[in-house]
Amino acid sequence: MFWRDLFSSVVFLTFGLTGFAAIFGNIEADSERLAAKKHWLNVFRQELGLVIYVIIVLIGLYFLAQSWWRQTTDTTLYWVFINAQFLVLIYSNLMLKSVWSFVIAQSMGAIILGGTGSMSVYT
Amino acid sequence: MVAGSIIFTERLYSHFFDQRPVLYAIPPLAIGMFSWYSVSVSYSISRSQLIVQVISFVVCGAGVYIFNRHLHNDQRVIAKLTQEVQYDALTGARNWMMFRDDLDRVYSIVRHNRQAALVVFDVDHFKDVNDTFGHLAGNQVLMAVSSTVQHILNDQGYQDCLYRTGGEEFAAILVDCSADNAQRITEICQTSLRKLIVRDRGQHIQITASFGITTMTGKDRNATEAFRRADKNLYQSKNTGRDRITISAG
Repeated sequence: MFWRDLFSSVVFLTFGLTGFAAIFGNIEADSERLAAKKHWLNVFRQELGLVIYVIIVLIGLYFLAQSWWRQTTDTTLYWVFINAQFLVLIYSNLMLKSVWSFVIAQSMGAIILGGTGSMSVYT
Repeated sequence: MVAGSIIFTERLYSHFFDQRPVLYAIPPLAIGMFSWYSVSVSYSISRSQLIVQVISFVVCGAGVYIFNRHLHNDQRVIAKLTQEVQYDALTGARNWMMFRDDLDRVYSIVRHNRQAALVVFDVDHFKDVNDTFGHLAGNQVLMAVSSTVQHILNDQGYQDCLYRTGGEEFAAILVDCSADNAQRITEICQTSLRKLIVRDRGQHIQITASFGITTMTGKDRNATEAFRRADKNLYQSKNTGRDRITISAG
């Protein structure tokens, strides 16, 4: 049971977050190209796409966690989704450059993790 | 918020962490572990579930960290091979290296009975703009000039042919363009640059530019000869009062 949970959690999170990071990287590269083309100097404006992406992922994970909490007594996937929210938020903190981007993503994380009914500790 | 801020401020010491990637990973890892510890204290999570999630967090964090380093290294290489090698980062125009290569390429085309025009221009009194409004304003002017001229060239059907050849000097290679057409396009550019207003911290900066035009012909010994002629025309525009166009055929 333990090993099954561990294996499935590690695989799910590693592949899920790698996918998240890959899309994050693509949006980042496209935003940089657009900023160079449009001569944007404002970092927040350049990162707006990334902020929206992070918020969408956090909201998606929130609904998935809620759905699994209600539907089954096996809480493994619920905690996996909470773990994914932690990782997405930490990754965003590391990658976003603008203070405004950070504040928006972090506030959204606080609301969502708080709303999950468990994780106000991190935010 | 505090934990997030600690991670966010890591970038302030990016130079330090670039040399020590393992240290860079420690704060996020520690904060993640602390978060799960707090969860275990405050909420009902079984010990085995907690161990599973902590191990998953560490393994996934490490995996994403390694993946991210590779991803960014690859992106850096690709960017270097494309955008950075070909384009001037400030203005978005092509750089001197590309100008040199493209001018040689166009010269070889001209020798096979095609025509091309070479337009060189620079911003008048650009040093005064820098001295009066500062270098950031000067950069804004260069970006605005490049953007305006590129827009006009695109409208006229000449894509990706603007080059930044020096500080405030630009050039455009117009393939299959007669002298008359080159003059007409240059006049549009001149008028647009006169009307251009660059706004910087409440100040309005107006500029003009001087132009030199020449046509490239098979009689030119090499591409440099055509460029010298265009450059000479530019300096004639400068010496005769600026905000002018001087044209001579090859």
